[in-house]
Amino acid sequence: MLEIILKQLLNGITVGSIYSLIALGYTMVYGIIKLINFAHGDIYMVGAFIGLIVATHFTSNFIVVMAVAMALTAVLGVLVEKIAYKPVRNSSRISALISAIGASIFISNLVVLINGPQREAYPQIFPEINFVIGGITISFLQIFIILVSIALMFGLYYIVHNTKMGVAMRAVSQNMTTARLMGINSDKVISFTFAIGSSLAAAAGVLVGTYYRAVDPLMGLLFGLKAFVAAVLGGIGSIPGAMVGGLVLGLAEVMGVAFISPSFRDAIAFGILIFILIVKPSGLFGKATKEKV
Amino acid sequence: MRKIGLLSLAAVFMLATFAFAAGELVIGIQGPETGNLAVYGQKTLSGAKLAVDEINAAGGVNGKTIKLINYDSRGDKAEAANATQRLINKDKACGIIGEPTSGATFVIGPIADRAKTVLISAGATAKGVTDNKPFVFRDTLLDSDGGPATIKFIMDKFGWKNFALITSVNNDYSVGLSAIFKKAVKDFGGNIVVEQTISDGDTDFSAQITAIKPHNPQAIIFSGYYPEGSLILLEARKQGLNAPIVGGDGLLAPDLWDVAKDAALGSIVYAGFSPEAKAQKVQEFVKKMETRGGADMFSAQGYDAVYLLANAMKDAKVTNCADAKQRTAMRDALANIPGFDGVSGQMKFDKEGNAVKKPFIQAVDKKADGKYYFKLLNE
Repeated sequence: MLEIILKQLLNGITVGSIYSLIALGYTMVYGIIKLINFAHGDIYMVGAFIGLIVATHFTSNFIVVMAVAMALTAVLGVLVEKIAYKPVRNSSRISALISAIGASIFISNLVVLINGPQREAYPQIFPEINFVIGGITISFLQIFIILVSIALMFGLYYIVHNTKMGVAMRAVSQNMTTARLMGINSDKVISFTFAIGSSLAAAAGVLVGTYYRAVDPLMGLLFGLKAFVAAVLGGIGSIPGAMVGGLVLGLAEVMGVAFISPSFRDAIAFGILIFILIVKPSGLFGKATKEKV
Repeated sequence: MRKIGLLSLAAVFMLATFAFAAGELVIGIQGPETGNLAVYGQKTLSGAKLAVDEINAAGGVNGKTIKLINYDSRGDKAEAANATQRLINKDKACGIIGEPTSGATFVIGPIADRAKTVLISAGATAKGVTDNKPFVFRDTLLDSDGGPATIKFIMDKFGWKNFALITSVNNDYSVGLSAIFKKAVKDFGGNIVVEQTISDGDTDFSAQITAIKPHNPQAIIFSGYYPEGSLILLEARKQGLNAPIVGGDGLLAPDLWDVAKDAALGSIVYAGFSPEAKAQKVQEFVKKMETRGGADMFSAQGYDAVYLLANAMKDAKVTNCADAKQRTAMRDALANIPGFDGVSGQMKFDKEGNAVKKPFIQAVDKKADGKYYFKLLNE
């Protein structure tokens, strides 16, 4: 029994760390321009497909697949920002929100148009190795996914706290007008934020592909919504909040499926959302930490 | 002498009149030819067309040719009811091959039954579609026949005893089929060592496979559809669980190996048709269907439905389908068919009009050129 609980914990942390990576994109964009980027889930899906194309046609070297997917998806993120959000930045927030939903529908349908709606097999970029520690079988792939996610999150933390761009991001998130008065090019900072968030989503897409070995053009919708729940759970706008929110959500889901019923998988996720909005609308890390990025 | 001469003259004259007056017997066929379920209707129709062409080329039935009239119901229940009314009242059909789906067959069955016109569904599988309707039949393989036969076959052939059972709880087909599998495993002396549930549309099955693995089943019975099936296979292999999955025709799609690749090898599914069957009849059917969109379960069942109706018309000597007495005789002939050897297998009808047939049990295998296919196991 203990072995199963530990194994399920690992399953939960694996899914959770992927949620965290996607949630970071939501939270960063919200932190800067107070926009819920509904196209983010679809950007994650495109990242997974770019990884698929690279891995099937060019190289199955994991680092190259990941790097190309992250770079190209970052460009896509910036494009979406320039085309769909920048023109409505000074309009009411509802316009930007509708524009985000439009961008989401456009991207997922574009991929359906090009690829067809069917699920695609993901090549095995990573050998399936299991090793046994103290009687518990652990999948190397799961550990790897968790480590990559942690590394990327630390990378982000470093950028936000130790680089000039990171300081600019934090300044813009506190007050865009004042930041501009201080000589910060806020357009550049916003683009940079979209690029970083999108590349993290692409990383999540590639990880999901290697983990489940299948991707489909509509996978962004539910995964995106779940990651959004994770971001709200952690306190939208807070980077550590998104990380913790993703992990909590992944664990809650897997444990719920394992020990209650799989029918509750989505109910648990969205139940958490409703609960948080009622009890602590600002989320776990919403007000406690003042860092809003 | 003169009398006999006159009589024979009269007989010749009468025969000629009959052949001249009504040269055609109408068989109606309806189903979705457009819309979401179009592929079912189109396939059934293409199989039925082949059968009608063959029968007419061989001289027709009772000296008459068969005319096939098809209506597109678009998968819409109201439209299906209209088509049935039109076939009965306007076209005076002898029999109707109707609606490959259960939902629409539930609607049109009572209409045909009241009008005393034979209806054969070449696809409906739901429980009770034909019940209490003497004129309604189906030539589909039922899960209540296929499931137990498959379990018995794998237990005898591979000696498997311990199974895991996965059900998709938001899928009626899966819930129904799981109950059949569960009873069959118990009846034949096997054990369901662990049961897990999933939902259609899920992609993460890590929790379920983790729960199954310590029980070490020899096979995983999965009663749902192929999209989840392929992901379950991948997850099982990832966690080092090498048991194959066993399921119904919900898993019968190339998408199973398109996504799961080698993880799909050895998966066992049953279905109402296999193009791999060696029977000459089947091989000829597959060959003829090559130019007509390919042979599959629906086209095979459509093809068989036409022959079932034609045989019943022959046996009942049907010549005029406007006559309710002849249609009733045709219904009785069909119900008492002693055994019919179709391309979708041997069958006869039980007292409710359900075909009793054997499943084609198939396993995913790989050809030398690396292409996957369903290899027929029980022949």
